[in-house]
Amino acid sequence: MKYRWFLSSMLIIIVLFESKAQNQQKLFDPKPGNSRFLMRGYSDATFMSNDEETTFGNARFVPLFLYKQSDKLFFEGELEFAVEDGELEVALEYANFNYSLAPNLNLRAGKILIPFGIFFDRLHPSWINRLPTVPLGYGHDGILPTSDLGVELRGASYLAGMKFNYSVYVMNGPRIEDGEEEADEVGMIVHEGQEDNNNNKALGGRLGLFPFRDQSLEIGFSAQSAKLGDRDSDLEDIGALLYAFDWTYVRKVSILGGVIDLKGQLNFINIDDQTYEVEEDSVMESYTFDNQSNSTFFQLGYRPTFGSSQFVKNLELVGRYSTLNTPEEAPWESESTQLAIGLNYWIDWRTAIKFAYQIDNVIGGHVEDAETSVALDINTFYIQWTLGF
Amino acid sequence: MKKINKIILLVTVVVFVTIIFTQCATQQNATSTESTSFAKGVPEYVLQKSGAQLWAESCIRCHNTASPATFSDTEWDVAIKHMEIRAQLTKVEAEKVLEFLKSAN
Repeated sequence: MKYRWFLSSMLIIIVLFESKAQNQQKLFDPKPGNSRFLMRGYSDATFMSNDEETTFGNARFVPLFLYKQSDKLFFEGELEFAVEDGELEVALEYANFNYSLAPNLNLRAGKILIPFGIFFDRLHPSWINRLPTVPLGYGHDGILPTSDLGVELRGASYLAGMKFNYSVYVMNGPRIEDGEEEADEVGMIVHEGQEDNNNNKALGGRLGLFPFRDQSLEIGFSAQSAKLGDRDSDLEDIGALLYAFDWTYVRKVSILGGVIDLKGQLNFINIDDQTYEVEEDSVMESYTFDNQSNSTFFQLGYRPTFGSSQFVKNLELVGRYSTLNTPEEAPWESESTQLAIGLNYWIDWRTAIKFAYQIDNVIGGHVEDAETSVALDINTFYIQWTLGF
Repeated sequence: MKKINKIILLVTVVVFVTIIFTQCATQQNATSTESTSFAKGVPEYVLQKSGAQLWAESCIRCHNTASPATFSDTEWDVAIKHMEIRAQLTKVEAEKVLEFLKSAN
């Protein structure tokens, strides 16, 4: 009898131990499964100081949700939580699903970062952007497309032994400022519309070529065509043609003892000629101008990765020159240049402290209550902490 | 301007259709043979590159090169699929880089 009790007790103990061991094994070595979720993103905080203000300007938390349902189905979605001027702003940066139609051919649908040039599609996250600011042409009153709702085909392949990448898209497209709400912005292209203002869709794309086998150089051409006016309005048929050239050259150069990183983009925005009638202070004003704008940026980075000191290896020097020219005779006519010089310290591959000094020179522009053209020189010192995760 | 817009539209549609036809043809060829036949049409110099070399060449075009130890195998599987789409890696490049990262993390 005692023998049976002993055997039964031992059996129960063994079963319990085995069960616990299996649970622990499951806990520490889970089977990955087919559906895979990954949260990435970045966060930053910026201090800025110029003649006007000295402030801890803003802070952002930008989570990026990635979900791979299968080898063909993929989702990406990015939110942005930003504290700016004491207020919390929340925005959906992009959210789209991807279906891989074939190797090297992806169909995306949803809210998409527009591949017009390289900056916004690839370089805008603060842990990737080498400076705390963005080039002229982006941001508030920006003339360049950033994100929109639509569908896109994209991928990369080889032609005659050379790698190329491509993107072709159809989006809701930009609209034009008709002057009813902002008389001094009449004729300006507006990319971040909350709703689609007409039945016309923007068509565009980008083609990138890699002339060298080591992929150190990429040259790209982008174009987009769209009608801008509200449906059934006098401006309905106004069309816009945007095109851009971009380049990226990144290479380790032993003679310089490190990595050089050259990037740039030339942007041109041509809008059909039109005479705009707007009411300003109860008086009807008429504006006719050649509605052509352009912007550029040229960026050079250098990181002394061949050095013996780890501290020196972690440093990076960056310079960026940027321009923005908007149409002559327009109420928002401007000529702007921007020079930014920066020194970054990389704590690891995705975490940096950036120091930058930026010189902005603006002539004209959208300045409220300005009777004549004004010139502004603004010199700003920035410190930004950024972390990608 | 309207003429230019129409030309751009025409070129876009032609490119769009060409891409779909050529890529779908590639897929049909791929499914009819072995699973790695998406490597067909890939230049020899690309096939000879190691995953480590492609990893070093591709990442640095936009950002600093990530350490393989950053993610687990499962996480790299998602991250590389994301980069295949966003950074426009070819299928061969993505497969090779993923293989390298899984072996080196």
